[in-house]
Amino acid sequence: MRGWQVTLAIFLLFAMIGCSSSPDSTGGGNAGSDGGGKEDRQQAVAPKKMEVADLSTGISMLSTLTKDFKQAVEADDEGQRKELVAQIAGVWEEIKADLEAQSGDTYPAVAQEMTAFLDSASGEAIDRELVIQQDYQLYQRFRDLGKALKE
Amino acid sequence: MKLINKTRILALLLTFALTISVIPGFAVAASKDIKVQLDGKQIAFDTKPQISNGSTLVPYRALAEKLKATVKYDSKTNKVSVVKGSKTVVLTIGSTNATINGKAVKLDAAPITKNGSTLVPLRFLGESLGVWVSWKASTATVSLETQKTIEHAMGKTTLKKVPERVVVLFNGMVDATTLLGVKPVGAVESYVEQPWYNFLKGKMSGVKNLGDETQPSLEAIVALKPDVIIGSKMRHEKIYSQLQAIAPTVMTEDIYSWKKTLEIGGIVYNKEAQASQYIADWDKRVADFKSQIGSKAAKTKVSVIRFNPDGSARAYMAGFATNIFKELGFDFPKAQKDAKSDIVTVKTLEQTSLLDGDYIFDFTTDWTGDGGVYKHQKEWTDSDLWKNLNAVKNKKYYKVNVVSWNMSGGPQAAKMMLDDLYFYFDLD
Repeated sequence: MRGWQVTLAIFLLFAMIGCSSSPDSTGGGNAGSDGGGKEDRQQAVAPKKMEVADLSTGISMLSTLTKDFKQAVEADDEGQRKELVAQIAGVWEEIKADLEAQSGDTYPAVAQEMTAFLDSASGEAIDRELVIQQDYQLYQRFRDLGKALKE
Repeated sequence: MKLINKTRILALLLTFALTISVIPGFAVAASKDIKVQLDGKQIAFDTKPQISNGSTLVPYRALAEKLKATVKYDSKTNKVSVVKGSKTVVLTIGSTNATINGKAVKLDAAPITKNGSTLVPLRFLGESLGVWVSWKASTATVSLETQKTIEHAMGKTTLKKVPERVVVLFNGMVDATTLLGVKPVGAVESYVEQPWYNFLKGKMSGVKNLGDETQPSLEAIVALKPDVIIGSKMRHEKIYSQLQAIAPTVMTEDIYSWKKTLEIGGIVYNKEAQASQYIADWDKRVADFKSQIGSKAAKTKVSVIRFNPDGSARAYMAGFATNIFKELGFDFPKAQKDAKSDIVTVKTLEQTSLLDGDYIFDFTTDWTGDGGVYKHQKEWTDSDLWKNLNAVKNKKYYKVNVVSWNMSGGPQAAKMMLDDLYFYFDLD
């Protein structure tokens, strides 16, 4: 084998190793493949550590935070908007396991809506109309959950 | 020393009196002033009615005789049985456990024996036997009615007992019925989220779907053998006589005046107190909203709209959402008021300005399922004419929940819409 062929083979070999260890590879068979993109974006939110006494309190907090979020977006208060997204993510982290245990039927839809919201609401540039719509959806969702928990 | 002893004794007596007043069982108080009326006539009891844990207890034999029920007392088991028609109620003296047709229920107060009479909870017995029971605090009167004549939008209907098999023919009444804790045997389906709106689903298990609100299945209604049918003149005027032939029928004027809907439901189902309380709570929340929003409401023109599958749009000057805005003191766009119509139809894009206001609330939904209405909505809202609307320029165009803002039309939906308005107007 000629030297350039060896070099090319080594290069190709390293290129293949690099691809398969990338968290973004498709067919990687681990949690960091296709879903890794979304998880990466969620983690970019950096949930704030929140003190949440119990599920009911957490839901009540989220009802309030979603209202506050809308106000922050409409006031063009970027700093507050980001802070609230981090708080919402933080409360969600604290309650989601309990919510799944208690409201197994509803949980998948809520989780999906929360993921979509955090996805849209994070980052520097946001689609204002979209995030307010998603925020409204979450506001209704947590209102209904709060009511269901009381019954 | 004597003074100290007297003081001590007095203190001890006072302490004793206070103590026994909070011990259960001692909370029975004779009330000389409680009156009991049956169909407008006062019932005389040898032993006066008592109050225990908030329940009025009356001698059961005298009450049962007045209600034309048969009674039995088993001294071995201390059980009292009262039978009227198909209903058998069994109570046990000293126990809060009772049964209605064999099904266990819990009482707020246990039957007691006093002066040789057995006293039982009045409301429980009355309601178990299908009698309307209401309390009038101002005259300390419990009123029992063995039948109820209800004036409604299409006349008068008499019910011979509190209905158990209820058929409901419009969405707002389905909302009110479940709120009042009644499960209908049949109901018309929802327009979306079928067969029942998501917020009602949990309470509608086993309910027969009677089809569309505008065209309920009469055959299915007949098969249910209802005690009462509740419909609306707005939808069911033409079939009223057919419904009356099936079962006593009560009709509201329209489908969206949710307070009237709830009041009618309260009367029919013997839940007037609950209905009144809901409305009272609503009024408090409205007062709170108005207090927070202040003068802004009267200066804010709200436009309530939807896009239609036929390529038009409409603004509402009447209806469920509009009525709530009116109650909260909001104003409406001049152009819509000038149209002098409950529904202001906007046929072309060039007329888009008719949809404008300080706020636009849009509850467009795709109830046909083909997505066409959303294409039409996008076409208009992508246009320069739309983008030039005041509400749009000021970023006060919102897409809202069609179920709670329009399609349900009942008391629970009203509360959800009011919650939404706290959200949209940034109130606590």
